[in-house]
This record gives sequence, structure tokens and C-alpha cells, in this order.
Amino acid sequence: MSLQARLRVERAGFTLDADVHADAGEVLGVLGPNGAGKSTLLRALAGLVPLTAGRVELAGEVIEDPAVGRRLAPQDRRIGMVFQDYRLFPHLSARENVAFGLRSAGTPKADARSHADSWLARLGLTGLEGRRPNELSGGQAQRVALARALSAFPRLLLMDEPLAALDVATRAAVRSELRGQLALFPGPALLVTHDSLDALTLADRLLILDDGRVIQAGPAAAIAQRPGSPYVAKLVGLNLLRGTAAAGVIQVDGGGLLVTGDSSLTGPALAVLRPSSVLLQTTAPHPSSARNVWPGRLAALETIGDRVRVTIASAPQLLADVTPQAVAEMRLSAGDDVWVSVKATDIDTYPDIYPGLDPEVDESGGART
Amino acid sequence: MTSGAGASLTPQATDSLTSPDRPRPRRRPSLLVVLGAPAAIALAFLLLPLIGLLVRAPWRGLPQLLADPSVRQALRLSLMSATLATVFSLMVGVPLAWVLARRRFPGRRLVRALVLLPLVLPPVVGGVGMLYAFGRRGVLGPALGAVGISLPFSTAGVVLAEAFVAMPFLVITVEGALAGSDQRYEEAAATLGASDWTTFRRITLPLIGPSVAAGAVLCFARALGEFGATITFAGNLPGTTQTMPLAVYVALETNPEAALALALVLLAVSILILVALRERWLRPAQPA
Repeated sequence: MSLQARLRVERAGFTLDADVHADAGEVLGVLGPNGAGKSTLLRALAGLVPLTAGRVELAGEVIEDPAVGRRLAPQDRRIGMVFQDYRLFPHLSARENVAFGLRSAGTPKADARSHADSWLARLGLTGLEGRRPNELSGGQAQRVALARALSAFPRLLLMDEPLAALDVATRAAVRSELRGQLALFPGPALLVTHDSLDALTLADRLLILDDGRVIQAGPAAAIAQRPGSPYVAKLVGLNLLRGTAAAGVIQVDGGGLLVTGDSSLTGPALAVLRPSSVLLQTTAPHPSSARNVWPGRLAALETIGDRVRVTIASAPQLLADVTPQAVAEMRLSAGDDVWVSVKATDIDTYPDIYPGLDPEVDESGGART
Repeated sequence: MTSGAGASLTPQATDSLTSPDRPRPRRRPSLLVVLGAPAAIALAFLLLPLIGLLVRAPWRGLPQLLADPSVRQALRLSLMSATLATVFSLMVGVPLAWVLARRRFPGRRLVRALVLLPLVLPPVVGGVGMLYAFGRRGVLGPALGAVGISLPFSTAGVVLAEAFVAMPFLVITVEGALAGSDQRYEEAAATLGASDWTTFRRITLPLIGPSVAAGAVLCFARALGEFGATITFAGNLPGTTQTMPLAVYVALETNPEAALALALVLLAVSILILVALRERWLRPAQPA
């Protein structure tokens, strides 16, 4: 059950031309600026926008190919979609929203409803079955939208900025939950986002779209280390460290300690750190206000526009952005020993609620390397 | 008063701030006075006929007047024909609104304009047109006659005349709702595997339900008051085609008290309709 698509959509003043591939069980993150064609890409796959040219093959079946006049209607594709604005039917309860897909497929009312209730329970929404969408919070509505898409047994799951409409606190919780649900989803999934944290936490591979074209694709860590453009560097440049928090310190999986200053967090945690906040020195630093100082070795240097992205092999492993001038003055090159400093206040922390469901957790010492 | 305070302050301020060759602003009456007077005239103009009705109404003899069989006959005929005209309009007008709102076809704007024509057409013209469409000498007359149907001067003719005049109110209300309700929910339904028909029945119709209801009430109100097309096409036969407005008109010459009583009944029905539509119309206009 995999997705293999070549999409070409031409409209006035805009052309989408992208190859998309995703394997069963894989989450492909689609990133790009506004107007890059991310939503058009999803809508083309769902059949809501016809292809000008190209071919879409899902689970071995050709579902669209204009060259031979083949085009499956959206309702015949079995492709689930979570819309950015959720689009929960306002006149139906949460239960009826989730049951809608099965009832459309001819499942008897009672069966569809009990199936919907079990989906709502899976997403922690027990007790809210009878609520109308306008009686749900943003996080709850997002979960109902996900339950609705998943309950119709889709062969492919499309999500358009599923977390964009949520406030920061809700977002962290729903993100963790989404990760758990995606781990259980057997088919390929596409996640459109412009948030690098969402992309790095939820996606296995990334596809960077700009002006209707794929400008880079591959595993997140590889793109983060070798971004093809300054834009991609900024977009994917995040250090993401998983570990266990206690008393303001995170014991990073794969080695290393990180002082975060956030003593409220206990248990599985995510630490997020911009490469531009990582300070490099060639000698052991004098006592400074930075709470995190450790030695490492330069593994790679990549010049992108006005910055150099440096991969540092250390515990934990990090990406750092420095200027070309700094590289020249410090005479930095791969293999050099350096000291890394990070201020505790530059580290954002989040609870990591479903660590056990993601098979990649154990190996993700650094930015998903 | 604010205008007085403004007048005493403004000259000094302009003297010091504007160049000498610029004319001094003259004192003007306040906007409320300029627009308030005609507004009061408009209000009085609209209310006086209602007041006239209520003042001159034969309140004491009202029960007796309304108990008259011919009055009850006209009322029953009016309510029945307006209801049937509304039902007919719903059955064919809602699909027409859907076609106009959701289908793209050549000449759509022209079709839309033609559908709305009865809104501005003098009803008498509509009645004449119907005579030459469905009448014995009309376009469809021979065909209808062949199967034994004669519409002019029949109750069915009343229903058709009322529907002709009233249906556009329903069509534009529902079309507006369909065009305004973007198709986001219908797209969502399609991704969940719903057929076009399921989507229309379970998503589209319920979402525009309030507008369909408002359009139907509006259509009913217009049908109830229909006069010109009805009298032209269906005539004025008591018991068969004489609806309330026709009865009022006839009674005015022979029995003015009865005309007033009938008019009061129509006024009461109109107020009921306004109450039914209050959520939609009686709120002050708000930015969307």
C-alpha cells in the first residue's frame, strides 16, 4: 500500500509540478512557504483538483491518469483528509461526524455509531460524542477531524496544517497524540505544514515545495545537515533532542545532559534548539552564563548562502549555524575539536507524551540522525 | 448641544490653522436635522395606512363579519392556494436554485435574469402571459385541453398564478444561500466517500435549511397577497378563484366594513409572517 504520484496542475499564474512517493506506514512531511502549492498538492491527490498531466497510483491502483482519461472521483478514492479548518459538519454531532464515512459506505446506523464512539474513545474524546462542533475546543475539534478521516478506513491519509489553528499549549499535546495515531496508521500519510517542529517530530521524510516545485526531498536529518538553500536551512534548521526530564535537566536519549531551567517538566520530554543559538569555541570556555558546555568534534560544514551549517558530533549531537567569517577566522574544518555552549534560556521544552509508539525514538540521539 | 459648542470653537481654530484665502466653513445644520425630517415623513407615510385600517376597523362587528361564509370561503381558498403555490415552488424552485448556484453552463446569467423577471414584472402582465401559455388559445392550451385540463378560471389556475409571481422570492433566497455556503463541507463529505446524492441530502440541504424556510415563508407571503396575475388568469369567481385580496377589492365597493375586516385578517397574517422571519430581518444590518 504505497503512493506513487506525478502531479501536474496548471492554473492561471501557477503551476504545480511535483513527484510524490510515500511507502506504507511512512509519514511524508510537505513543507514550503505560503503559496508554494502545498494545499494544491493535497487537493490534487484527494481528487478535489483535476490533474493537467501526471499519474497517481495508490496501493497498486491507478486512480488518476489524464493521458488515458482515467480519473476516480474523490468519493471513490478512499483517501482520508484532515483539513486545516477541520470542516466538521456543523449540524452533526461529533459522533455523527465520525460515523459519516461509514454510513456513506452503507454501514447500518447503529454499527457506524458504535464504531465512531470507539474512534472517539481512542482519541480521548469519550463523553463528547453528542457535542456539536461549535461546542468543542480547537484541540477537540482537531481530534474529531482526525477520527473522522481515519474511521473511514482510508488507503492514504492527507493532513493540511492539522495543528496550525491550535494555541501553543494545545498544540504540543495534540502533536504528541497525532504522532501516536500516525504510528498506528498502516497506509502512507502526507502532512502539510510550515512548522519545522511539526515536520521534524511527525514526519519520516520531508518534501520541500517552493513555487510549485520540489526543491529538496529526503530524510529530515539529511536535509537539516545539507539544506539546499538558505530558505530550507531556516525551515528545517532545528535541533530536536528527545530525553527524560527531571528537576530542570533533560537526560538526552543517546547520551548527554541538557540544563533547560524548566523545572516543571518531568518525564519524557522534547528539547528544541535553534542552530543559531549554538555557540562554538575552539578552546575550553571560561566560566560563562551558558549552562550547557561540552566538547565535540566538527563532523561536517555546509555553506548555504550567508551562513555555514555545522554538524557537531558530540553528546548530544547538534547543528550549529555560524557565519562564513567566523569559520575563516577560527579556521574551522571537519575533524576539529570544538567546545559547544548553549544557554538554558535558548532551549524550548515540550512534554513528549507518546514516546513508546514511535519506533524511531530510541535511535534519535540528535536531530533524527 | 454639541452643534452649538462646535460652532463657538471652530472659527477660532480655523483662523489660526488655515491660510487666509481659504473660505471659512459655514455653520451647517446638524445631519440629524437634515436627514431626520424626511425620515420622519417616510415613517409616517408607511404607518398611516396601517393606522387608518386600525382606526376605521369595525371592531365591534368583526366577529360577525368574519363569520360570514363568503369571508371564510375566501380565507380558506387563499390559505390553501398560497400553501400549494409554496409547495410547488419548493419542489421545482429549490432544484432550480441549485442549478443556478452550482452548475456552470452557457447562458446562466440570462437564465438567472429571466427567473428573476417576475419580481419586477407587473403581475397583470404575468397573468396575460399565463393566459397565452396555458389558456385555451395559449401555447399549451390545445395539449392541455386534449387531456381534459383547463387551467384558467380554476383554483389550479390561482395556484399557478401565485407560484409564477412568488417562486422567484424562494429561488433567489435559496440560490443566495447555496452560492454563499462555500463548498468546503461538500468537499469534506466527498473525501469521506459520500456520493453526490448523499452529500446533497445529508450536508447541503441541512446547511441551507434556514434559508429554504425563510424563502418559503417569503414565497407564501407573496402568494397570499397576489392580486394582478390571479384576477387576470384565474378570474374572480367566489369560492373557486376569489382569494382574500380579490374579496377585499370587491367588498370595498359593496360592503366597505367587510373589506376592512378582510384587510385586518390579511394584516394579521402579514404580522405573523414578519414574526416568523424576525431572526432574519428584524435584526439591524451587521457587517458579514
